[in-house]
Amino acid sequence: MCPMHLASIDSSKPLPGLYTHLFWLLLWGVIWNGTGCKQAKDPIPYKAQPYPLAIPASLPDMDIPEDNPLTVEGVALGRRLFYDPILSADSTQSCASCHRQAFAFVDSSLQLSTGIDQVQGTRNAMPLFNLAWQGSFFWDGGASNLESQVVGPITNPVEMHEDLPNVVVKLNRHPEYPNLFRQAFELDAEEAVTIPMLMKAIAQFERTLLSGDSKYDHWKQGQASLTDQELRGLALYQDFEKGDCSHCHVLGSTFSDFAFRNTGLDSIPVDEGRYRITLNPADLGKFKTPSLRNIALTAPYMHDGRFQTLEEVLEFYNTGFHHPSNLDANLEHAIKGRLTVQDKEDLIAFLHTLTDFNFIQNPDFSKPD
Amino acid sequence: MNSIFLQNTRFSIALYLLFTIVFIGLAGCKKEDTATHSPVLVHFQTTVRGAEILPGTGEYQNSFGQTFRFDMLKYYISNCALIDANGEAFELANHHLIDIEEPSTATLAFDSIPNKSYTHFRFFVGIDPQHNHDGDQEGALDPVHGMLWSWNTGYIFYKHEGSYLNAAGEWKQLLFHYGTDEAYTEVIIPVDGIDLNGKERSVFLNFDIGKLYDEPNAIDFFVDNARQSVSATDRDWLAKQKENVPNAFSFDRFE
Repeated sequence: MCPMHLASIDSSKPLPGLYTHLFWLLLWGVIWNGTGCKQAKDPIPYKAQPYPLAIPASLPDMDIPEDNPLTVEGVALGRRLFYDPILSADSTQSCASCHRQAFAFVDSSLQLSTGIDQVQGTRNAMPLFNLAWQGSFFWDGGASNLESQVVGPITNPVEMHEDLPNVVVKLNRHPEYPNLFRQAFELDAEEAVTIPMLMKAIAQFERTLLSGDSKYDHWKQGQASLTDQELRGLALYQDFEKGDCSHCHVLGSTFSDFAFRNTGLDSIPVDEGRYRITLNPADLGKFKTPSLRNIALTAPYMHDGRFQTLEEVLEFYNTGFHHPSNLDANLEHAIKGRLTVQDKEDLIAFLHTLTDFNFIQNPDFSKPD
Repeated sequence: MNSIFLQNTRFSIALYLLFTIVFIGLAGCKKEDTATHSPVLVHFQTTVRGAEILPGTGEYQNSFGQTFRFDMLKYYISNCALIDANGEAFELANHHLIDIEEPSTATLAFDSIPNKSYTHFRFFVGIDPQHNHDGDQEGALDPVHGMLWSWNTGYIFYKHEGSYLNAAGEWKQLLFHYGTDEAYTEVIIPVDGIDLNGKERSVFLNFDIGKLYDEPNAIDFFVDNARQSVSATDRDWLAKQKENVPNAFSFDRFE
């Protein structure tokens, strides 16, 4: 066909042939765009950019779920949602109401936080940093991943007490959120904001909350020195006969193995802890081992915030723990009264070297403008 | 010149037309050939002993003669398959949420199932363990449907909220939230030899809540009236309920 056509395009009569070709090419174009079950959707005007996550040298590599990669747009959206009271039923509380950056994202000095209905919860708000290395969330590990955790506080009657369908309505009729979600998740114009998208966005922001820039880290990197007292504390931290902290709050990196343990807070647990999730009697009274990074900022302590100071915590591990049948093995043989007053002061001095002042002042984590 | 050009133009038009027709044939919406595949609709007819469920108003009785009502009834049907006489299953991986207040959700539509004879319809009540512990899933698994336990990530497979009349004749809350991995239950129903031949077929199945609360384990609402699966005190009820699940489904007819 082509050679014939080329031959037919006479220099004296070029136009009719050209028009014919143009006509058919146009028709093809129309058919191409109009074929019945085309897969192509409207052109996507946004391409979310990969988030340049800078993991501190003191922390390990991070596994990120394949279906929720970090993007600049997603992290920014999650950050905005984290600070927005729109997620609570009466628009008075955001995630940040009980998770405050200045306190490594715990609820300042409150033992128990109060929800929108002025009802107190039963557990101390957990700090938020280095979350990607934790296998499950909440004190009892009930949330199986960071995304799934998000709807817990939003719907809990003693927290933000909101219905998820209502959240969907509020976000979709908001003047800005639909476009922000569209950019973060590369949505078509007609696609609505959903709860799974909300969960993914907040989880993205939370994965960027990294803390690994403390005096201890600087010392490890040869950029700072520890005092004699801090060094004595470090030795006690690792001494199995004395502090014995490092069995569970593994030295360095995340400063916890995040396992569930019964540390003998009560002879008969008031709160069932991990048992509530697994129904395994061996899990009664077990709670997640928290990181000791930023521990000087996150008082009060334990799952129920029963201890106001680090001194109280150390005295509990020194003399106060009970012996329930599933007491953690590392405490089982610990001799009561093994720590002197000086030992405790030294340990506390070391624990203060784990505070990351850059983390609590990082403008990337604060309330967005 | 003119005649040659005209001739060539006609020829080119004919060729373009031919290509266009072929092109439309190739690029157009290609449906499965009805010679090999058929669409199948599966309808779940949820009743109490054949009585239509009317949320809020309908009153029903269990085998103890205890009167109860529904305010809400939702359940998940997952991983359906049609099975032929040789035991070969045509899998239809999926999760469907049936909500009694939205009648359209009671019909599961499968676009193209290979044409042959099938003897059984297989499905599970609940969500498979692979999907049961992730809250950020779209569609039927979106937490917006109120079927996710957020404090212990997992889906409520079957949710009946309503009320029952206690011994004193007072309406009390009736609440069954059935779930957890061990509650995920397979149901295989003989479907009396569905023969697919290219036409749309409808399979009608019965889900009898009367049997769900009775066979073989009769649920006494004076004992079991607020069960949520995830507490130690719910375990006996959960085991009884799981045993009843397969007995509550049956084949009605196909059209």
